[in-house]
Amino acid sequence: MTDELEGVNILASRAAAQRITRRHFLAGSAVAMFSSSVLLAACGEDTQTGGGGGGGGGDVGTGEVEPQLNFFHWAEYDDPEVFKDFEKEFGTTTKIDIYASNEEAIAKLEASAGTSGYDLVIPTGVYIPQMVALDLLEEINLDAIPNFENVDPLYRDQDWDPGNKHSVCKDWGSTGWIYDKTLVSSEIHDWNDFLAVAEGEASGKTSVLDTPGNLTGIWFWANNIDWTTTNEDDLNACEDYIVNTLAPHVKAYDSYPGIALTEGKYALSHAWNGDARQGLLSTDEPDRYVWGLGAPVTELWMDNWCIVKGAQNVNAAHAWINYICDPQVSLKDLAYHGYNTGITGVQEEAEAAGFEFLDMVFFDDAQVETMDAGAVNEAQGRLVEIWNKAKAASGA
Amino acid sequence: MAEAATGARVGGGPGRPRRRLPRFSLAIPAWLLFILFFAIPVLLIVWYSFGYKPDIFRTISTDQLSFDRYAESFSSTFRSVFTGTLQISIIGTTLCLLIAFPFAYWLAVKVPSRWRGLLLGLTIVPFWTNFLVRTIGWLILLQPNGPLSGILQDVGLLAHPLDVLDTRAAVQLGVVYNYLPLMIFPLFVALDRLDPALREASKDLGANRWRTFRQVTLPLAMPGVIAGLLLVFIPLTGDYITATVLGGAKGNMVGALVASQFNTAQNWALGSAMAVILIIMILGTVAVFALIGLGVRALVRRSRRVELVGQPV
Repeated sequence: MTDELEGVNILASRAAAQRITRRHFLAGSAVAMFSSSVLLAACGEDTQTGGGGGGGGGDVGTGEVEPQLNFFHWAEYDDPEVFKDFEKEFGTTTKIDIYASNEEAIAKLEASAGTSGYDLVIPTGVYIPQMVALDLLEEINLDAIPNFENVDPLYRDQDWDPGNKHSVCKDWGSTGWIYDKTLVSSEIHDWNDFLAVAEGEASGKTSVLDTPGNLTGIWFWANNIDWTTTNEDDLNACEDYIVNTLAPHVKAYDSYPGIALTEGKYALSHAWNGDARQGLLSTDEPDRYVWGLGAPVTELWMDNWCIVKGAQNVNAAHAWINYICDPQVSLKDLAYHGYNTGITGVQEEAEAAGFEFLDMVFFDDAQVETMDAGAVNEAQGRLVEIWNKAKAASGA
Repeated sequence: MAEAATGARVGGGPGRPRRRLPRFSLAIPAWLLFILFFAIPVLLIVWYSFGYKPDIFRTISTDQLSFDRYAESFSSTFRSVFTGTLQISIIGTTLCLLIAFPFAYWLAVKVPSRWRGLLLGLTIVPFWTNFLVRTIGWLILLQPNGPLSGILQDVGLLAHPLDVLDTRAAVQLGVVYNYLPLMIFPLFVALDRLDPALREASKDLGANRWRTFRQVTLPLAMPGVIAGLLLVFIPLTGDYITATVLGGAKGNMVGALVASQFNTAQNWALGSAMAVILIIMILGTVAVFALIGLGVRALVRRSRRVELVGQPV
């Protein structure tokens, strides 16, 4: 036995080492490997059966809140304090993974086929029908969300999810621009002005939103074309302009340019209202910057709480949606992200609380008239392609 | 049963021939790792590169195979990124060599040996920090309202805030910084192993410093130079972190393009085709430079041989 051990250095007492032969060791490793693969297989099965069990009415989501809640989320989209408060109240730890576009989120959920491990995802409304068709979402049990009654009826029962079967409004917003007056002398009143400045004064100092729909939307709106167009000529003209004319002037494809702009990185940024507002809140000289809501037409997007197919923590997910629809929590979250949460009375409360730049959070009826939610249709693949080519062309 | 059998064999007398595992078994873990995590993924990538993206929400389908993704990858928009990347990586590798060689030489030859370990340790210090964090460090440093911009404006070298972020220059700077240690190490090892007696002999035989460097030091350091060039050039060409963090829209590199096809556009087929082209591009460039190197070496040897043989003694 000792000769078997010659030349073997092992971190064990001499006596113990004598008991470990190579064969034991190999057999042990084999057992370990086998059992771990069995465990993995068992886990896989577990998630699948768990997936089948969720959804549907009755008492779903009303049970004991699980100790873990996993978000598949946009970046910097809720107040970290709100997460902490939730964790404290329910004894649940929250974990967040982020995605940068709806396309990315959907493709990842689709690829993992119900085993993603995420509980909540926050897609933009127009993507929800496809997500339901692809069986990526669980049904939400509104009975488990008493605070749903706080959601303004205006933001319930949307075209893309009648009866809120799969989603509850998180917040909504729009798109426009923000620029540095000391670097851009001309005024920007509509998308045509925006493009002229991007090609002119702000060339090489302009950022645009890093999503296909937003990028191509600029050109469609500037040219009075519906941004849901599937007309081949329109799409070709859009590609030609974006890739060959606009792209060389673009400094970055940045979905969160607000703070970077006020730090001097950009002269002109294409931005969502809440992000532009965060930029203004972060600077000492907000008067230097001008925010403009897109015109003559601009986007209306609504992001929604949805429960991912196969979610393991369905009760915690319902508890979170209920928690965030509480008016006080909602107000606190709004103070952070700067988007209208659609909770009844939140505007009055925000005004009473003296929040700054509320004209960038709440829009009047005339403004809402100019907003278009759009749709995800068969042109989407083409828009992604244009966006891709534009990014490559900017680097040329 | 098995236990008893094992016990019997282990306890067997010295007269019995011991059963041995074949020698290659030592390499089995490494082979498994390579096959599982290198060969299979690369083959999958190659396989995917012939597929296509079936619809907007699905990433890959391989029920119809074609070269169409390669044609797309070579479209003019993407081709410019490929050439830009090659430019960044060749300039970056050259700069790394030019900066690292004098340093490694100084460290291996000039510095007293008691300081050598410390200094070499200091070159490793950046590796204690995550690659991404180091690159973000540069992002902060180079910001228009960052510290460097402030200093340059204060001393009057710049009239406007520093505007280097989101340009190809920033990426160039970032890759040289990130990959420099990988050039220093092999060079240092090669130069450190060089026997000082060889240089002295060269001097004694009448060679000046330049000639000693050219004909003694450099040829002997060549394995280190080649290792350094490969270690820097290959990962640098495929790098996407530096380009993503510092390059913005202008400093795009193929690595970032591949990553964006996989992560954002979710077009795995096109991303795979680009990845395959990137691999071929790297191998091709290395092959071209290797051929040039071999050619130069052959020429040098030939010229020297003529000198020696041609002189009547």
